[in-house]
Amino acid sequence: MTIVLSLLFLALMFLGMPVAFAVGVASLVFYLVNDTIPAQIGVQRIATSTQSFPLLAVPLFVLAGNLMNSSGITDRIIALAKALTGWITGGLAQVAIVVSALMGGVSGSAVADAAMEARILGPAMLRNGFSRGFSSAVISVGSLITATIPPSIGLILYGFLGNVSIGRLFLGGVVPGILMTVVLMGTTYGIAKRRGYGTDMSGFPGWGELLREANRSKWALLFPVFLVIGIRFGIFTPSEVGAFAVVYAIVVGVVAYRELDWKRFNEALRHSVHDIGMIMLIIMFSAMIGYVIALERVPQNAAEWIVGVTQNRLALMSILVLFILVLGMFLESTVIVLLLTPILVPIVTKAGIDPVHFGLVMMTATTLGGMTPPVGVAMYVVCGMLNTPMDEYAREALPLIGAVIVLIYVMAFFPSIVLFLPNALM
Amino acid sequence: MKYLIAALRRAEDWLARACLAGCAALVFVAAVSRAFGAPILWAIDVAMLLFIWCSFLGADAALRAKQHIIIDIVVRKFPQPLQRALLIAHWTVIVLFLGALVVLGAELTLLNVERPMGDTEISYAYVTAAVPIGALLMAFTAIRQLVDYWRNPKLAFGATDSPL
Repeated sequence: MTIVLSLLFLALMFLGMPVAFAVGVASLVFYLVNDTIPAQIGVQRIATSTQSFPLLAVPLFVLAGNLMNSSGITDRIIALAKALTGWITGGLAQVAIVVSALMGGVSGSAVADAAMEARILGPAMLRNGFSRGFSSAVISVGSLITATIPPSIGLILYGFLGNVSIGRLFLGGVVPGILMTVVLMGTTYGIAKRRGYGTDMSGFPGWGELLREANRSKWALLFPVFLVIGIRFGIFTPSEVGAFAVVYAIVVGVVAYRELDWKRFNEALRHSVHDIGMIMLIIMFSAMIGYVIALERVPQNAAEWIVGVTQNRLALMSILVLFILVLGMFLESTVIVLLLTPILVPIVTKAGIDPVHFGLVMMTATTLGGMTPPVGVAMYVVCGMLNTPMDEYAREALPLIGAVIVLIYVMAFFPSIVLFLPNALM
Repeated sequence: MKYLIAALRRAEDWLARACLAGCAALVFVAAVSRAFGAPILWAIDVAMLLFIWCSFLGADAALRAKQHIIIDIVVRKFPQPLQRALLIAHWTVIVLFLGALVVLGAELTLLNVERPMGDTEISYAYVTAAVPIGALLMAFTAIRQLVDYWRNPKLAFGATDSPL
């Protein structure tokens, strides 16, 4: 029955029904065909899926991210990133990657970051002589850094569904996020050198200029520090931190930068309501499937099957990463998290893998799925805004995606990269 | 009639934004009050109530703005008449699906009238009511979309729906 359900869902999705409704229609059909469970239970699941305090972190961080954009933080971060890396070979491409890293500390969504950069940096990159494919690839794959450095909406969902500490997950994302920035900048440097892409400015602007820009963006740079301190000392839960982030963005926008007025505030609210509606509809309708999956003992069967294949931790990690990467090419990231987290967390925990370690590996691979063709939302957004044909994007993104996959395997085989910080601090 | 609908839509959007702002404010107040040792228990319950309403009203707003994620990489290669047929078929199914949610959701809401929500006296029915009412609003949007699609002989994917 689960197979029929999955096939129906896949068929509807690839025939162009909005993903949320493809999930919803497929699950409702299951409830209607199956006479042992009343269909009201499915509807009940839609309502109960939202009634969870940890999940409140999702809308709050979405709102905080949009408010930070409207409060003038984004412009300052871009100016700082230019001073930091505009003079390195690869110019604006390096800037785009560093913007993703700096935005990572205030925003939790790769897609939002990719959209913002495609709008603000994309046209400038094309003017500077970067190819369409390369510009889109750098912006799209680079936005993965934003989703890895805390806060991270993907990690909130993973922690919520797998019953794993979101605070530890957040701390675990710091080192992989920094490594990813270094790896992507290195790859970009290599490509830019070979093709003769120049720099954005003639030379290093000097420490004075750098400090001046850092001072201008201090409120953005300080936020992740407050975030980590707040969670580390158990003062606040991630949802509460989300509410603080909202208030923080408003205070910075109104008092410090004086750019956030009523009109911009209202606009940020409107954008957030759309984003939340889009994400939550998928989450709510997927909750109907969750019940079916549990009922049909899919997690237990999958666990038995995988444990039958291998009991070795490294082999298990390798297989799961490969599986998620392939799945990520064809499914939307949120759907993968919602379907796989409840199945995989018990399996890896039983195999002796720390669920925080696995969470970072899994979420990096899952979010990368949003950047790999043929299906990927971050990729669609960037390519749509810059008019990039998909084959050109695919060719140019390959080295960057390859570099991230190598990093994911390094993370998978060396748990301390992820666990060092959460173990040291919590 | 046209003005009435437009006014209702504006009210709906305004309500969605108010729910989100209220949700953030309540979680903030709850956190501060907890830090000062005087937790306001009902604040979190009301925040979660506002959350489900914001989610459904936001889902309808996103539907009107055609922002829901669509995978159109396969169907874009189909001949245009087939694309048009598919779009009309999808939205008919979606209207039926939403109609089922309205009926099932209304039944469920009536069952939940007596059940209290978390630590408060508020009836859980206010939570579940978001499902049938949200589905009803989306059904109106979907029907309007369907009428537009029906009238447009040149209808195709991509031109009418952006992936985001």
